[in-house]
Amino acid sequence: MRIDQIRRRMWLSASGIFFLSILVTIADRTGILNPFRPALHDALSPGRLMVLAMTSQNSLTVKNEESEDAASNEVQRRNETLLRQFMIENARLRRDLKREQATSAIMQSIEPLNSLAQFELLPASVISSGGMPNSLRDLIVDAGKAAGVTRSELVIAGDGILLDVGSDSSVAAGDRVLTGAIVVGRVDKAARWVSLVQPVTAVGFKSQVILLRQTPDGPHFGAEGMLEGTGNAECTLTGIPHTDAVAVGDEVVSADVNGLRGPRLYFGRVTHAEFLAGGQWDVKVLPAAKIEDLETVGILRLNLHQPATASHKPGERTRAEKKQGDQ
Amino acid sequence: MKTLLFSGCLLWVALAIEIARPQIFPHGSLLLPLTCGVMFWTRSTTGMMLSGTVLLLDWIARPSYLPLCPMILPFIAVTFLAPSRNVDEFDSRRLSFRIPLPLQLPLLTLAAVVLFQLGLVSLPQQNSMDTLLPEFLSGLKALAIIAFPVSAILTLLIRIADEFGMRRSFS
Repeated sequence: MRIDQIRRRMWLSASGIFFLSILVTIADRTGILNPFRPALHDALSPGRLMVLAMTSQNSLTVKNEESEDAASNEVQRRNETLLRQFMIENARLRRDLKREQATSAIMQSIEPLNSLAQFELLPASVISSGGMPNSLRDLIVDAGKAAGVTRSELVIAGDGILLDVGSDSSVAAGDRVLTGAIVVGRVDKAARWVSLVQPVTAVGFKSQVILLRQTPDGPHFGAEGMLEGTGNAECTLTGIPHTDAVAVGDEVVSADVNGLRGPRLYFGRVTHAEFLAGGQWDVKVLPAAKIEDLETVGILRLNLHQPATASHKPGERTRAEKKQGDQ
Repeated sequence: MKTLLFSGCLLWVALAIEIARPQIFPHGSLLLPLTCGVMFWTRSTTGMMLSGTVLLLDWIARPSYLPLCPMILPFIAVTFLAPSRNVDEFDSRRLSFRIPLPLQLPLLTLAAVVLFQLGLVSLPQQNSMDTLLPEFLSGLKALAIIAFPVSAILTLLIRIADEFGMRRSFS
C-alpha cells in the first residue's frame, strides 16, 4: 500500500512538473517571463561572482604566464621574419654586386676607350618642327642680298626640325638629338647658328638598335638590328636574324652611339612583328618621340678626355713656372 | 529537510559555476548529472520536485526551444526510482527485469543529456537533417565529456554512502 502511494505521488509530482513546464513554456512564448529572467540571474549572481573571484586568481596567473609566453613567441617570430628578410636582401645584393662586377669587368675589357669618352648633352630649342619656315627663309635671303652677302651656311632647305644651335656650338652632322632619353633623330646638316635634324621616321635615317623585352625577371636584351625611317609614322627594323625572336611590345633601344657604348637611348616600341615565308622578319616600330610637341631638345655629343701625360704633386711648381719665376 | 536544503545549494552552485565559466562547463554539463544525482539520492517526491523545479528555473534563466528536460526527465526518473510492486521472491519463480543499480544514474544522466540536446533544436532547424545531426552530436559530445564523469563519481559516492549506511532507504 505504501509502495503504491509512493509511486502515485512520484507520478503525480512528475506530472505536476510536466504541466508546470508547459505553463512556463507558454508564459515564455507570451513574454510574461521576461521580467523574471533578470531577477533569476540576480539570484545566481552571488554564486557566479564567487566562482569568478575564486578562479580569477588562478586564471590571472595562468594568463600572465601565457601572455609572457605569447609576447616572447611573438618577438621571436618577428625576429625570425626580419632575419629571413635580411638574409634574402643580403643574397639579392650579393647577386646584384656580382653581376655588376662581372658586367663592368666585361665592359672594361671590351671597350677600354670608354674611360676616354664622355658624352655631353647640348641643350637646344626647336625653331621649327616642320623645317625652315618660308617667311624666315625669305627674310634671310632678302637680308643677304641687301648686305652683299654671297654665301651662307644656313640651312635653307630640307624637312625636319630646325634647332637654334649650329657648328658654333660644336654641333656636327650625325649627332643624335634627344628629348629626355628618347631619340628624336640625328643632326643632318649643321650650319653656323642652326641645325637641321633628320627625324627618326625620315627616309634615310638609320641606326643600330637592340630589342629590349620586359619580363617578370627584369629587362632582357634581344636581337640587334637596323632601324630605318620610311617617311611614314612608323619605322622598319631590318637585319634581325631569323633565329631571334621578336614580339609586339618589345622596346627598341640604341645599340651604341657613334660606335661606342654609351647610354641606352630609347627609340620606340614594336607594333608589328611578322615572320615572313622567306625567313625574314617584318618588324614595324612606332617611335616614341612626337616631333610636333617638341620645344627643347638635347644634342648628344662625344668628347674625348686627354689623359694627363705627367702628374705633379699639389703645390709643386712645374718647370715652366719655375723658369718664369726665376726670370 | 537538510538533504533538500543541501541539494538546493548544490544545484544553485552548479548553476552559478556553469554561468560563470561557460567555456569550461557547457550549459547543462554539471547541472544535469547533479540533478539526476539528487533525484537518485533522495528517491522521493520532494527530491524530484526540487530537481524538476531547478531544471525549469535553469530553462527560464537560459531558455532553449523547449524545456524537454523538466518535462520528461521526471517521468523517466520515476520508472527508474519508484519502488517496485513485484518483489522478487525466490520461491515464486517470478523474475522482473531491473536495470542494475550502478548503471541507473549514468543512464538517467544519458537520458537527461539527450533530452537537453533535443530541447536545443528548434523546429525550423529540424528540416535540415544534414546540418542538424553533426551539430546535435557535437553538442552531445561536449556535454557528455563532463556529465558522464560527474555522473560516475556521484554513482560511486552514492554506492559508498549506501555501504556505510549514510543514505535513507525505502520502507
